[in-house]
Amino acid sequence: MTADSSQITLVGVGGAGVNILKGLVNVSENSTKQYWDTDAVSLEFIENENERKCLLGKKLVRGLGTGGDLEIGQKIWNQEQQNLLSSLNSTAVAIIVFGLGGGTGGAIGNALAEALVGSGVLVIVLVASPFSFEGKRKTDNANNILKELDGVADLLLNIPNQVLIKPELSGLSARESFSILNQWFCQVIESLISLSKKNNLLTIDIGSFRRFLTQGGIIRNVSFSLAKTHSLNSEEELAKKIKDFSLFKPTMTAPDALLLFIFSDESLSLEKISKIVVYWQKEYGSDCEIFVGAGTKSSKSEQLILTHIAVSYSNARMKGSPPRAPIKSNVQEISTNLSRSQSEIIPQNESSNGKFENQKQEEFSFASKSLVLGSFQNAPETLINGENLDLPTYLRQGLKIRIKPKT
Amino acid sequence: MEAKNKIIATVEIGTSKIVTLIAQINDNKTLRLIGHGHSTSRGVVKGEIVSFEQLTNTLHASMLAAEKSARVPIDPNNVYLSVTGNQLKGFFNHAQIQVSNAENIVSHDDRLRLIKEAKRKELPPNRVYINRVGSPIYLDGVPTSNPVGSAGKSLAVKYWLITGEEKQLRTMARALNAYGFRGRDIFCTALVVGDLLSSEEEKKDGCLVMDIGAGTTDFILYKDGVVVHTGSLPLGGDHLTNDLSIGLRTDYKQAEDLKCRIGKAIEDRSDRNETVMLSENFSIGNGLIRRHAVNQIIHTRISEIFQIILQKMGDKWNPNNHKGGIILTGGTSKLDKIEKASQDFFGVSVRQGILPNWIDSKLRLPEYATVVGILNYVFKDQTSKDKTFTKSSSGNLLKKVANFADRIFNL
Repeated sequence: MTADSSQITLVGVGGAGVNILKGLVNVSENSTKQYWDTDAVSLEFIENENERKCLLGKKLVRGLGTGGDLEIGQKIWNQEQQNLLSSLNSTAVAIIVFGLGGGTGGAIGNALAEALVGSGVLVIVLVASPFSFEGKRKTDNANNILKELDGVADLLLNIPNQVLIKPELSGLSARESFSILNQWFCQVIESLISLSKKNNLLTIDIGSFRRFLTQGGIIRNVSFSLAKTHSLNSEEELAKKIKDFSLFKPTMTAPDALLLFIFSDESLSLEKISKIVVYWQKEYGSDCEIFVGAGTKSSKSEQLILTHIAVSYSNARMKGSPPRAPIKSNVQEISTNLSRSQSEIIPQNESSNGKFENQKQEEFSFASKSLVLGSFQNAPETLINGENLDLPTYLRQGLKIRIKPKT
Repeated sequence: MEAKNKIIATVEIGTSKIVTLIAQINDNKTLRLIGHGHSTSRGVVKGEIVSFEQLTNTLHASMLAAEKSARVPIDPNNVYLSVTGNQLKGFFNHAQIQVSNAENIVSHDDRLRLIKEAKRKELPPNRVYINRVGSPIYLDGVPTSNPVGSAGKSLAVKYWLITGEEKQLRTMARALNAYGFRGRDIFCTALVVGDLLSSEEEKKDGCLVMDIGAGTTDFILYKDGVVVHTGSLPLGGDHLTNDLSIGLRTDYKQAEDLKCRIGKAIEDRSDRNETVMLSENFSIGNGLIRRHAVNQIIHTRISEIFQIILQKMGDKWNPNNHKGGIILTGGTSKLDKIEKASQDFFGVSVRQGILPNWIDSKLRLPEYATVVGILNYVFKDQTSKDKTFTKSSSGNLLKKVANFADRIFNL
């Protein structure tokens, strides 16, 4: 596949995905939007010639949607995948947005992510998972899809609808709450597509972005957060807002890498950017590699908007470590040898003779199931939300903990 | 007719220990604790029975020790148990009926019909009811303590129904039966612990009681004086120890010792530069480690347990609506700074549960909250039984649940 390195394609799949992308106004010159849905009504008001809209499963569901049926969604994908994939031929980064509760997004969004893996395209998946009150069937479907996506997508960001039901938002109408959710999605998409925008203050090229996503193996843990504050506020206040965000993980104290994107007005100074970055460098330690993007917008007058994505990889990143194997081969290895959670703690720096090279004694790395499960190796598994909680929490969260004091 | 002075035994089959208490109830009015026995639990992992033989032996050892201490034999028909673990599930069942009387006066039959309806939800074949906890009855939308005799059109009530796995409960019953004992009743751990440790005012204000044991964490949430959620996670102090043992590459015993000796539930900045010896004895492999690393491991796991509890409670939990705060108990609640960790996480006041004074000081410890809780629950039920009979002749709770006990224990 030949990819134009400037090309980012946003694909909104199903009702939720289409709706979120519709709200995204500021699309940079290096990105295009595609709307894929089985519901003709949701595509009705998309009239921008530069945006591709695609009514899926015309014969099967006649523009009426899948009714939340994943099997119908899968059938449509099987019939139309060749055409759909050909529209993404020149893409370097695909940002796929969908809801996990529906049949179109749940089946086709997921299948698209899988199909793109191994093709050289960076796959970023943004999903909205259903409310708990939407019932067990939807929740189970969503959990299953999340499990499938985890380890397949280069970056998976899940914003559960349930975060809208919290005391701070209790005074808002449902419409206002959904609008907040859409704003969150738009902010993160805008940040991602602005990273390589040519006229930005600080840009990250696609190669660096690829390094952020893939350098340490598969991303196993993401702490994702957004904040909006007055541009004159201190970096501590901005950090507090980041830490108060519902999806921020306070337990992830030492991520391997951090992506920060800062939006503000024309007055945004290098000193301000530097203070923000230094704050997070201190917070996460010098081992955490920070990727920074910054852009200005006249519409963001006197506002400072920060997107924070901290990640830990499946293994501790080692200096000079070889690039990871293609994603597809990793996935196959996991599915044939080990369950997902067990594979998380297998070190990636194993040499061909089966011995571990350059292994730092003070960092964790484990080779076998019995070592990782300790006294629980013969006990019934503690499976909650699809995770085996008998495995140490720090291993599942990818935390690096230094045991020995510095000599 | 039941004897005036009854000997009852309560048994907690925990992951780390099996405790038996023997008490005497005199004239259904006073309770006297007369003996207790204790054995190290075997065959139970994370609240789940994995070896019948091991469980039977250790259960019997604990009951024998209690008999020896009380100097009276346990009445084989008066043994009460608690149950915990992942097998427990809870849900609300709502019922609403129209008052049958033409003048719209609520009758006793209406009330019974309503309660029967609320408790009746059919379960899958492998599950059985353990406890059913009612909320106030609503007469035309207004809560009332007893609607019988009042005028109104409709009655509504909701019950929090707790169910367990029939197979697990049968195994527990068989372990008792092996030595000729017959379980009289069984209680969900969270229910008895919550009732023991929280005051009526705290329940009314809304409070969360967490019993963090070795193998399981049981929790119960109250609001407006009634139970709104119960849960049991197969996670507890053993997971903290196991995490430490793996991370520090030391044996389980040493990790347990380290947890109790220097473990903290929070990541304290002051520990960053502090070092401690892995073990207090000068054994091979001993060495200096960072105290901060130990606390990071513990904090990460404790936060995850809290996170799962929060997730399980869903929107029933709101720190602004639970002014009663959090009450902690169970062996793992002795972990240093766990109150601070819970306070930081849940954003409400936190206190340690205090066991009542009538308990021997040796047993007034958080790890005995469950077994004392069963005793307290049974005693309260026995003493309220007579009052209920004289007031409304509604029958006693124990008789009502006898069907359940027969089904589970009469093998």
